[in-house]
Amino acid sequence: MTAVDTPASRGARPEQPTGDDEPRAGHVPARAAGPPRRAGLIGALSVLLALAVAGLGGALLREALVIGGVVEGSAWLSQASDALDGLAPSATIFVTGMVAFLVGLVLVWIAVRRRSRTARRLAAATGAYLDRRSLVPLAEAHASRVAGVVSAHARIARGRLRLDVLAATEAAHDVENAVAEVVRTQLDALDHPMRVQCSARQALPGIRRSRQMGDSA
Amino acid sequence: MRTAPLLVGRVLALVLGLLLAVGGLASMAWSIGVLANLLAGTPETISTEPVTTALDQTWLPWALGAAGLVLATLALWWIVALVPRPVRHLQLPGSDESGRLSVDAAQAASAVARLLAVRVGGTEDHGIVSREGRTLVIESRVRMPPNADLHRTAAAADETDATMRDLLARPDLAYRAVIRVADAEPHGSARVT
Repeated sequence: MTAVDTPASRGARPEQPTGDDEPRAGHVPARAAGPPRRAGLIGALSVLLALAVAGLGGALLREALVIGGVVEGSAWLSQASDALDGLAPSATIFVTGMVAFLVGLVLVWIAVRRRSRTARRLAAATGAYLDRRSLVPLAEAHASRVAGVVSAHARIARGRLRLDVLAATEAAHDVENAVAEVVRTQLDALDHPMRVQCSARQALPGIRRSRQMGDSA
Repeated sequence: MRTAPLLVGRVLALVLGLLLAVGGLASMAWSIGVLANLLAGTPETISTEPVTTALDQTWLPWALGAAGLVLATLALWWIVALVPRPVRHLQLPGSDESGRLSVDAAQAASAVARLLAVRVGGTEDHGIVSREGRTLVIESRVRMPPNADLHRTAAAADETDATMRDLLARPDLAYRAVIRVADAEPHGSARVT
């Protein structure tokens, strides 16, 4: 960014990645929206449950009208009670109980599951988020631009970004440091920067020796 | 989707799940005769006598009707709350009794998203205005090249936020920029070779 930008329109500057929420003169402080979230399983389940509750309410109303004699028909409640009366233990009840138990476990699991966060917040005054899956290609692209890097492979494990780099030079250690530095600088722009680990090895380590052998032959 | 209706779903799913799990486990134990060993007074067959007695009570239709009405009303509120409602127009300052000044929400959001896309050197996915709880949120989804500078991206989001505020003059709007990296080349090529 150049100095031409008006200071009032600037949020977190590149050199101040921690974000600054100070209201600037003549500028209403940005209202940052929360992280993007997927409704996920609980969203779909909520719709199903809402429909089920509506159906249950309707059925109860019907029962009330039938038992009260307003509407002709036989009450489902008395039918169900007749069917269940005198039921003795059986394999059917065991299987039904097992199904109910499993369905209950699934419901509890869906209920306590956290909604997946799909993005990481960037250090900015406004609500700026980087899609979760974008970290790896971003880190790889930046690592690949470091001098001496042949290829870079990134992955996220246990909250850390790990980079495996193939270095063109014998000074793999220098490349390792340079790549880690470049990627770390980028990830500093995250609201909660990640730890970066980089390991580099020399691409085709035998290449020099084989060329010497070829020369001597 | 909004948060409150999802929370209702969560609580209901938890209660229903626990009831089903406990009930299922109990009926499994009952059907193989284990429950009788654990709980004294476990009946050998199911008796629905209490239900039959209740069915003869005069208050039952009223109780059932009231419960049904409450459940149906709650369910309707819940279903309505679950359906996401798109925001069509954003009212602009300058609106008064003589007329309303508003802007098409989708167009405005799309323009903001395009602005952010230009600033991050990428392309626009989409822009939307939605109501989240009591807040109106204008969201931009853009793609940027994988080698883009993340600090500049964050700054671009702030600049776009400021521009949006200047243009729409709606300080109550919250802004969200969701940036993703356009599918990076190295991945694909590495797999092909």
